[in-house]
Amino acid sequence: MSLLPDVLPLEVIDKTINQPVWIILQSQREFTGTLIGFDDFVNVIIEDAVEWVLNEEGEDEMIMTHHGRMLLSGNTIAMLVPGGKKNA
Amino acid sequence: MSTKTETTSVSTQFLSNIIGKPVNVKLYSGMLYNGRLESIDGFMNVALSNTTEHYENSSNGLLKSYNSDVFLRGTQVMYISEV
Amino acid sequence: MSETTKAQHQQQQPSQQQQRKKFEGPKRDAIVDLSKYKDSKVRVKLMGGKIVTGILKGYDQLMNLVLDETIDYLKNPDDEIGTASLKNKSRSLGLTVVRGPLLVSLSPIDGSEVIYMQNND
Repeated sequence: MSLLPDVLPLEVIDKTINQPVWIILQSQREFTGTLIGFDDFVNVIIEDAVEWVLNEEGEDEMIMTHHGRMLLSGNTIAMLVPGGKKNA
Repeated sequence: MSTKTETTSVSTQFLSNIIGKPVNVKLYSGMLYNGRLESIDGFMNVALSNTTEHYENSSNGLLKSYNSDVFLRGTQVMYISEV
Repeated sequence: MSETTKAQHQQQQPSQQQQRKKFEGPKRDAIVDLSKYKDSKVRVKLMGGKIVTGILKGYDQLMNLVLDETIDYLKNPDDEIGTASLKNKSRSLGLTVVRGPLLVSLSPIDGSEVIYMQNND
């Protein structure tokens, strides 16, 4: 009925599964890793995640690396970037 | 088309798979808790045993270690990660 | 849980429930039609103060967005309302999905102009 556009956000995320992803929270914190899956709330499961925080200069500082899978709460996820981070 | 709560969503699957395993849990405050995952619910409320507490990462020095169970409020949980 | 109580309520007092539905109904309609911004450049503000621009490629009813050629204007961390960008620094993110629940405002770039630029120095 309604004129829905052909690019649906959740479809874009779905196509990123098993590929690198870059997840940006509403704070200065970011995660990179392989997207394993997500649920209705866009809670996200990523594998071998690297955790970053943007400093005052806008440069990212690595906080820690994670091995295995991580459930990242969708509560404060602001943006998801398929393909991951170019410079990491 | 779909029901509100998907009982077999990847996140619930993940949660049931990691019960009993050692995990890292980080809160939005930046506090990092490392311990054995005793239980978890759909709100991401978490109970840990043999827990140590650090700020941001474990190389930042031990702040506290708990012998009793530690309960973490789901609304404050940023992530739960396998160790 | 609330669904069952609602259902019970409906059975007991169908007329009242219907009236409430009538009252609540129109509010549910989307007041913005994002289709007219499709393939054009938009500026989006997010909770926490992030500001991004990009070409709107898609969206859904929850206001999740697909932006192409996304640019993130890095803000001063203690500038919560996000009026000043951090020394005019920005970074290019490419194709992104913006989460609807965190969206604060959206506006087309064509038809707006900078009338005041805050200096951080």
